[in-house]
Amino acid sequence: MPSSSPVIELTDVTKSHRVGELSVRALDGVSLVVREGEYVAVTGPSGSGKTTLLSILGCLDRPSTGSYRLVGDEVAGLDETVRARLRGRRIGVVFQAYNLLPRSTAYENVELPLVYAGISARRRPPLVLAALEQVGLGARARHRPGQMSGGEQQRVGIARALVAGPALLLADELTGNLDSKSAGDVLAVLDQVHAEGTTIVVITHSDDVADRASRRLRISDGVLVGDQARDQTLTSGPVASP
Amino acid sequence: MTTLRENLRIALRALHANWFRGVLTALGIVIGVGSVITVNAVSAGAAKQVSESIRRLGANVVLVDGEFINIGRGQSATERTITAADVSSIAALPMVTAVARSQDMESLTVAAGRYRTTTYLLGITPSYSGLYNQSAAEGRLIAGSDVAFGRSVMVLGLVAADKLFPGQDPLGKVVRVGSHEFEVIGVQAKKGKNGGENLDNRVFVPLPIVTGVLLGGANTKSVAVQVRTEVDIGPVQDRIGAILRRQHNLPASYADDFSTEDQASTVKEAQQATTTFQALTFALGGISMLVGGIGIMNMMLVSVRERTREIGIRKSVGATPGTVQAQFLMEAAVLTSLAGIAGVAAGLTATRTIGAVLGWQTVVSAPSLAVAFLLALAVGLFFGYYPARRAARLDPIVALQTL
Repeated sequence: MPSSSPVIELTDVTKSHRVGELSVRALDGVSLVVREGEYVAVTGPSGSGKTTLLSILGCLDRPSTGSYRLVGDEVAGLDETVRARLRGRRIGVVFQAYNLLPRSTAYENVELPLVYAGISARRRPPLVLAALEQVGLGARARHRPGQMSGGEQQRVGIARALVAGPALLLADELTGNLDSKSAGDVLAVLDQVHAEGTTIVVITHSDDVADRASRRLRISDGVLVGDQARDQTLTSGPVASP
Repeated sequence: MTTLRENLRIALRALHANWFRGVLTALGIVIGVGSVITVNAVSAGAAKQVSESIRRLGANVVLVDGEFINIGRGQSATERTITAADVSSIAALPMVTAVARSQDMESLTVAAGRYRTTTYLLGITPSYSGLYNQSAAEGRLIAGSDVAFGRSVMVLGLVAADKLFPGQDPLGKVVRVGSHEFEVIGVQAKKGKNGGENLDNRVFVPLPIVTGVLLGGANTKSVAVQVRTEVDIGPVQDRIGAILRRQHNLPASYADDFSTEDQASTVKEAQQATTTFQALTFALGGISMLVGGIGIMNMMLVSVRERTREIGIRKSVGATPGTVQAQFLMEAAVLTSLAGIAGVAAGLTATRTIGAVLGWQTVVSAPSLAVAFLLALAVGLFFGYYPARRAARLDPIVALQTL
């Protein structure tokens, strides 16, 4: 798939956190291209910078230096308001802890990105129901998170991430809180979403999750140390610039 | 806008979830709004009463009373110090628009057939009706010819008419004062009360009957002097004092043999007291609002802290800082608006209760209700701003990590 257009282009991205007097470098010169339709897994030990990478990819955080082009547009220096709009329209994020609003129904949780994207109330119901159908929860729209299993809640999370038709689906340890049966269901949904053409980046330390991806990146101490297409041998060392 | 309706829904839901906390917090606003409305209604009622009293007593009227003339070491029983010449000098003053001479007899017993009553008799001239807004409910008032010819005619106040002629038409009937008989020519329209005095328990006759027949003696006791505007009241009292002292040839060491009084002065004092009371209670209402507002701010800060994770979730799916700020401002505004409505209801109830229990006159005006309500809304927006701003500035990553 060499000719599809890039969704993510990171160029020499660093991210430093201040911890008291010290400046800790969570990402140290990461360059990465993810093209449309790819299914990428990012693995690495705790504290390697996985979550920081996801925050930056999800426009929840800004890189300290470097460039981040999302679907061709530079987003590294944007202010919070513009990044919030990007999060609602171009990026869907699935969290380990589901992050659903507990007092709202599945339907209302999935509807949320559409509300903030300014989609009119008349146009929302078909989109919300389609997203719930896509994750196999069409019949559970009126249930609240407390009335659903962990696997179902996570599928609501995926429906919410997909409802606005994002260019990129990000997932952070999305099966971390699930038993293997539920995890299998959730990953099956993700496979299907990928098959329908959505670009996916998952962050995980589970091989079960990573094995489903078409491409596997390894990160260690804030540096990408491996980039391997499925059924290929591991290539060591930093990834070459695009 | 879509998010506006969504924010309203979120606000109502959040308030519903913690309704008891909201009610307690909003009480300060309810009390503030209620007290502002009540005080306004009571003081507007008092102001209305004052202006009615002024109308009854005559607007811009100075009453000049002559004292009894000293004869040797005693006093004349009938002769007063104010002469016809004094009256015409006063009437000639530039700021004076009208004068009305009168002489009264207090606690006088009058009779009609087998009915008798104690009343207040006033000898007047036609100009009295102009100064004191007197009008006839029946028949006619004292006319110039009644005064000129010294006719024995009488106008009754409503209370006197009712006492002397219960259930009858008094017109044309006869009222006796001592041995003197008067024909009833009219009944005065209702005047109401001034303080403890019932202005309807009065009877009126032509002035010469009192000075010449009932009491004897020549000079008049009282002259009511009407001036153009309220600011003329002080100056005219000084001018009258100077004129009367000169015409009475009073040496500088002698005290005045007359007095001048601003008829409405006591009423105006009452008005001033009312204004002070009003200002004081408005201040208390304002303090109540302020305390209520601080309570709102505190509650909203707690609410923002409790819902940090919710804010993080909303931000992660596209809520901008502006949207989040609007959401919390909306919540504060909805809370204080509801408090405002409750305050208006409380104020109206309190006003009605005061009117019913204490018998005070109250006037509720629509603008005062609107102002009190808008004040509550403004308190909500003002004290809700800082917590909303804090919510808007939360870092979504930090907010999502909160439990």
